[in-house]
Parts: sequence; structure tokens; C-alpha cells
Amino acid sequence: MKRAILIILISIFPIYVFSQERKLNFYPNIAVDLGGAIPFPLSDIPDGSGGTPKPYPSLGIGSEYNLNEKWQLAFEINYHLIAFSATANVVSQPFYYNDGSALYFTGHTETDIELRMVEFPLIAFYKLKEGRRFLFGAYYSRILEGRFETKGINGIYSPDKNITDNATLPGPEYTIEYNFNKYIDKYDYGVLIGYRYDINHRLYLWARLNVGFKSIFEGDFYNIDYDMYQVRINLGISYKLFD
Amino acid sequence: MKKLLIIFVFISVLISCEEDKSSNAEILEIDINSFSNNDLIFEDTYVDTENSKVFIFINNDLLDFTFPITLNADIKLSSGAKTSSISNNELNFSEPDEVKTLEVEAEDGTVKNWYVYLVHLQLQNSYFEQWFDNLGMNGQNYQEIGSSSVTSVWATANMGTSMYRVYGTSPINDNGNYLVKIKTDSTGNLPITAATLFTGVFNLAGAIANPTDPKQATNFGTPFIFRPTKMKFKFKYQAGENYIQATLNDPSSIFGGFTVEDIEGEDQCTIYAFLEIRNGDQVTEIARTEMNSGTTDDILTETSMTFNYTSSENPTHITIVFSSSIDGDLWKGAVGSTLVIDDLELIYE
Repeated sequence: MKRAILIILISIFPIYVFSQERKLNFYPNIAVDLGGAIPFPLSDIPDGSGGTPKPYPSLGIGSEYNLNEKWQLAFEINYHLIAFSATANVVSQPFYYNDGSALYFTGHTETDIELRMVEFPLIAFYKLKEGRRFLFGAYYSRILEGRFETKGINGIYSPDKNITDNATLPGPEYTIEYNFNKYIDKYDYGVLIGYRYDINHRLYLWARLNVGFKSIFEGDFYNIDYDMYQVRINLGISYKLFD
Repeated sequence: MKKLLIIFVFISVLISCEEDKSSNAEILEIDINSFSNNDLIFEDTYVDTENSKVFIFINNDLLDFTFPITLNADIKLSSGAKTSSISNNELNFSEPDEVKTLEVEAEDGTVKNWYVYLVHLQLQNSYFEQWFDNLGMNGQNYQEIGSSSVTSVWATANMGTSMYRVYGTSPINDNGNYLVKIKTDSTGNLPITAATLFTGVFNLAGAIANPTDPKQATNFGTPFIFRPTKMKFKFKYQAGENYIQATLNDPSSIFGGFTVEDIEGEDQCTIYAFLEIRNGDQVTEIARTEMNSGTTDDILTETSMTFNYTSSENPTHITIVFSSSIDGDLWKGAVGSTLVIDDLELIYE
């Protein structure tokens, strides 16, 4: 009980003190995420591929600290659900076994990616002019749940790449589903840049581009021969709690 | 203005009518009125809506009858559906194993194919003479049992291993008589793949989704309502040389590879059959027969197996399984183990 009271006091104290000086403030966020994961290098994206991000709301809270007239720092805790569907016609897409051998696939693929995560971004804001700020920062996110499911539709499979390189489509009328959910890593980190427009002195409108610096898969995932990185756009509003 | 309103209402009615059109192209019921041969004993029908199949059970051995046989049937379709595949309510079968395809068109134009089987005292293609070219996962044709992948009551695991150009179950042409060779093999990544022939459907999606559990690749059983006392067939078996046990390095993933060790003993084939009563999710086995065998003489030997019944009721499904390695589903066996079978017959005494 004593500890709980102490935590509350510690939490309230800076709010009280800094709010008096209007250096520290707090805000809730509500936003929409658009994005998913893309192969890197980009040359690994098959020709004719298509993707459809599924917009989902994200929620969060943040605190901002005014360093001076030009600069602000902010730290946030945000919950995100990002979802993305992609289609592609692939030629000799390899799936690797741990003995180094591969099974190749030529055909049509449909992939669904979904990541639920809690994100901890640290953001710097630079005032361009009154009510306009450029923002940049870094984030770490903890992946709570990941889904990466891909379907190979009416395609040709072979360990002989010559066969899949020269496959005549369509193959047999089968849809084969591969589920790589268990290989989704538990964390991600990356950078973000964006722009903030202050609608008034308490309400902010902003857009951010987040780019992951690590593959969404675990380090020892070898079944696909390219990495996939989170890329998403986040459009939202924040409401500053204290004047 | 009034005209515009009338046109608007008219278009609205048209649109609403369009939206109401049914996409159901189902066969709800089939009633058999008569057969062209009066000696035929009609028993029952079964409409399998999940697989779009209709089974007409006839209590005769149709192999003893002269074909063609015509039956007159009333087929009840879902509301608004129609079929042009049948005229004068007559279905004409040119041979016992023929499966008629009925194209049923729903009210909204959706077309669905239904398959009509004559199920009699012997199983379809029980002499294993029918084989067809099937397109494998590697884009190459291979020989599969039956007349088509949709209509055959027999299945193999060939489609699953076809991506490795491995076809464990294949025909042997012995001067125009076809036998079935069921041979345990290996692929690049699987140290052992027991071959099989069974009544039912090979579930490729199940095989891929559960690659560590080969049993998930089989949907056993075909509709059957008769009570055979025995099943008779010819067979021979040669066990492979190296009896091995493969163990998944990662029990949850086939990508992790296997550890293979030689083990004592000799591989055996397994042949078993069982009859079931299926009522929704409730499945009751009412009869079973089973035989395992090591290496035999190198000549086909006729053998029979007796069904042991535990119920006096009629079954709804029959499953017959031939496998070249008894513990193949546990990744245990010998590459090269070969079971050859021919001329399956169900006996009624």
C-alpha cells in the first residue's frame, strides 16, 4: 500500500511542478495506422505485386517536455494493430529447410500480415513556425501477437528450380497455406519522421512515417530468403491535458 | 416528373429482384423411381452436400450385370435451381464405376457440379484397373488411381510427394492387367514417406498445415451401407533393407529436419479395413479387420480377412487402407518396402 501511494505521489509530483512551469505536459493520442511489412531489399518485391493496408485505430498516451522555444521532447506509449494484405505472382520463390535445401514455388500468392504491439517512441519536435513542427525520433515496440500467413494458389512446387523457372501455370487446383506466425519476432525498433500541425494550443494533428530497422521475423528464421521490415504511416490527433 | 418516378420505382424493383436471386445450386433429395433392370435392388440414397456428391445404394454386385443401366429419378433442387444434365428424369450409366456429373445452375447463374455414384456390393475400381493422368504439384503428370481426382473413391499420398517427383503408389501393367505398387520412399527432406492406398480423400491442405503429423493428410472413408463378411485380395510384400526411425529435430516443424537412426527388425506392411456409422460428428466403428505382414514369397498370393462386427446395424462408411510401412505415420520404415496388391473383392456369406 505504501509503495502504491509512493508511486502515485511520484507520478503526480512532476505533473504538478512542471505543469506549473508549463514545461511538461501530457496528452492522449488517437490515430489510424496504415501499413505493414515490406521485403527488403525492395528489388525482392515481385513484379505485379499489390498490397492493401487495412486501417486500424491506435491509442496511446504521451508526455511532452519543452526544452526551449524551438525544441520539444516527447515520450509515448501507444497500442497499435497493423494489418496488411498482399498479392503477388512469384517465380521460384524459395522456402528453405535447415539443411540448406529449398523447395521452390511459382504461382500466385496471397499473404496476410497482422501485428499487435505496444510501441514506445521517443520523439523530438522542432518548431518550424508558429503551430508547425517537424518531428523525428526512434521507437522500440514489443510485439504482443503476430500473424504471417501466406497462400500459394494453383502453383507449381519443386526442389528443382529449373522446373519452377519454366513452370506453366496454372498448376493443380490447390491452395496451400503456410503459416509463419511462430517465427514473428517479439520486438522491433526503428525510426520515425513526421509533421505536426497545432490546430490550437491543446489540439495537435500529426502524420508520422515509421520504418523498422529489423526484420519482423526472428533472427534464425531461414525459410524465406529476404527480410521484411515494418513500414507504416500513422495519422492522428493528440489533446494536451493541461494548459 | 411522374414518368421519372415510375421509371425509378421500376428500376428499384428490378434491382431488388436481382439481389434476391438465390445462389444455391444444391441437390436436396433424390428419389429413385425405377431401374431399366428389374433385378436391381434399390436400398437407399445419400446426398453429401459438403462434397457435392450423391450416392445411390444398390444391393447387388453390379459387376455381374450387363450395362448400360438407366434409372429414373426425381431430383429435388434448391429453390430456383435447374439442371440440363438430365432429361426425362433419366440417368444412364454405361458401366458400374461411371460417375455421372450433374451441372446444377442456381437462380443467379452460379453453377455447381454434382457427382452421382452407384454404390453396390463391390467398391468402385476394386480391381484397380482404372488410372488417369493427374497434374502433380511440380507441374508434371503422374498416374493416379481412378478415373479422376474428383470422382475416385480411392486416394493416395502421391499429390503430396509429387513436388519431389516421388509417387509412392503407382500402377504395374502386367500384360493389360493393372496391379497397384505401394512403395515406401524418401524425398529430399523426408527420410521416409510410406506409401498408401485408401478409400477416402487425400487432404493436401491437412498435409501442408500439419506436416509433422502424416495422419492429418488423410480423410478416410467412403459412403457404404452393406455388411461384407470378408475382404479378399492378392498381395505380395518385400520389406526394404534399412529399417530406420526418423525423428523430427523440431517436433513442431518439418523445416527443422530429421535425425535418422537404424533400428532392429524388419518393416511390415499393414492392411486394414473398418466399417463405421457416421451421424454428424458422432462416429461409431462397427466392424474391423486387420493384417500386418513382413516379406512374403515373390508371387501374388490370394488372402482373405474377416470382419469382426460389434453391431448388427448397417454401416454408413467403409475405410480400407493399404500401406507399405506399418509405422510410416511415425516416420518409421524402410525405403524400398514394396506392397503389391490386386483384385480386391468384398465377400458376403
